[in-house]
Amino acid sequence: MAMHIAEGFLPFPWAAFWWLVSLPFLLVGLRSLARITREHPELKLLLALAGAFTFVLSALKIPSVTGSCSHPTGTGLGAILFGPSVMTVLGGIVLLFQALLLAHGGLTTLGANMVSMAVVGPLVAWWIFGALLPTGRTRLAVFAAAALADLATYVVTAAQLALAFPAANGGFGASLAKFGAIYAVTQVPLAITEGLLTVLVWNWLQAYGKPELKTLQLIQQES
Amino acid sequence: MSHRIDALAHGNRLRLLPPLHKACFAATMLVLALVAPVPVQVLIGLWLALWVVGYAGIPAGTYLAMLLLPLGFAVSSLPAIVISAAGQDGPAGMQADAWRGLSLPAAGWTLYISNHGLSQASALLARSLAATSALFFLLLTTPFSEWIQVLRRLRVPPLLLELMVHIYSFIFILWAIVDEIAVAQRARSGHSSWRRTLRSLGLLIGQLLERSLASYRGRALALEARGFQGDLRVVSCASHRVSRRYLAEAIGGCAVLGALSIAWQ
Repeated sequence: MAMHIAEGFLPFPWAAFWWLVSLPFLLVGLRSLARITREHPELKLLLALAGAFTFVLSALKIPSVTGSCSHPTGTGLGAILFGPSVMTVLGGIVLLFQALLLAHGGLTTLGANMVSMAVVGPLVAWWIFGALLPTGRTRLAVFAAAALADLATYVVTAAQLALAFPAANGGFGASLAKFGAIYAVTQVPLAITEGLLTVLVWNWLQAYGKPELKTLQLIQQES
Repeated sequence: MSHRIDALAHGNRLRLLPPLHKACFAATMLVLALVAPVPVQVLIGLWLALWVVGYAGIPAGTYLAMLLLPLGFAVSSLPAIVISAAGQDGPAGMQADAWRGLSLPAAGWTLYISNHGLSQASALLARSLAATSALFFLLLTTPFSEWIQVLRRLRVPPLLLELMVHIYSFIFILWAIVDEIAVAQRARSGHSSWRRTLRSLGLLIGQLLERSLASYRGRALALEARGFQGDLRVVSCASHRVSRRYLAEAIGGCAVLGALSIAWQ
């Protein structure tokens, strides 16, 4: 979870800018959620369950290849199971609770964290999963979607930090290279681990969780 | 983890102040923390520590440990800002930017501590301290249920609030399930190697999904049996009292800090 931008880390203009960027996505997600829940009020609970599931998932420690421990983002799995627009709203709430209950992230940086983790991550996962599914290799699709969603999240976070803290020499580009290099060492192994983990969960769901998958498909068909 | 923050918030001595007042105070501090100069940011951190430890009665050790966690994250990303690299011949700007002219040649590159980076880093640390203090003041003095009341008065979409309330209650149910499964796995050497740990985690997440869906079905059935139409209304019977003493200190302090940040800009 080191990729959460901590409270007060971004200067005021950038914090406000990322809030503005995230708002339209949040509104679109809310509108599609409102439509779903108007027709099926009981799905509200299921959506809340999905949010709580993502939160608990993100608070688990997973072993990274390099020996350190970190936390999965869960955005890949969430986007595959619930679709990207629903995941934006749920991801936003999850990020808020992470700030409130775990002191990870913050209120002023919530906008920036939402853009990287609740907007870009799920969109990338959804797009890759959709692109690879027709090849018939579902597990590869799940792995690539989860791992690349993670990577996309880190790239966006690195870019956000580089924009806020340009280097004196070389400006944005030099700063992006520095943040990118640090993330590449720590987060690429983590992305691979999360990909593998998501495939294991997927296998389990295919083997024992058919009825659960059917229930979840309800949300996707509606959105 | 979360139980701790929640328990502290429910038992703190500023519990009876109106949540809207506390939220306004914290929001003012947060904005001031982002725009004020460094000395004012440090003052904000100290003043809020007085509120949290002195007035709200949160143990100083607990508050310090909580502050160190996010500040630790901030510190861990400082090297990327402070250390810069330039090509061997080095652009002319490097000499001017290098701290005390120190530089370290490495593999065709020159590493140096950047003056520009140092000033960015010190501004960042002060800002993080002040903003985190403002967030923690609200976290430690206002329980979650009162946050929802405030957000409702701020006209946040009801659907969003409802989802938040449901998610909040589900989190604790799921967390208990995770605890049980994790204990069972540890007792059976589920984490003896890297591969096993990964397999155990996959099993845990799959099981968690199944068991949480089972608890969802039970809840949905129970709600439907009671005529659930889509919204859940809860009676709130907490009574709040306005304290003139705290109100005066908050307004006075905000005014002084605001004036100082304009004077020192």
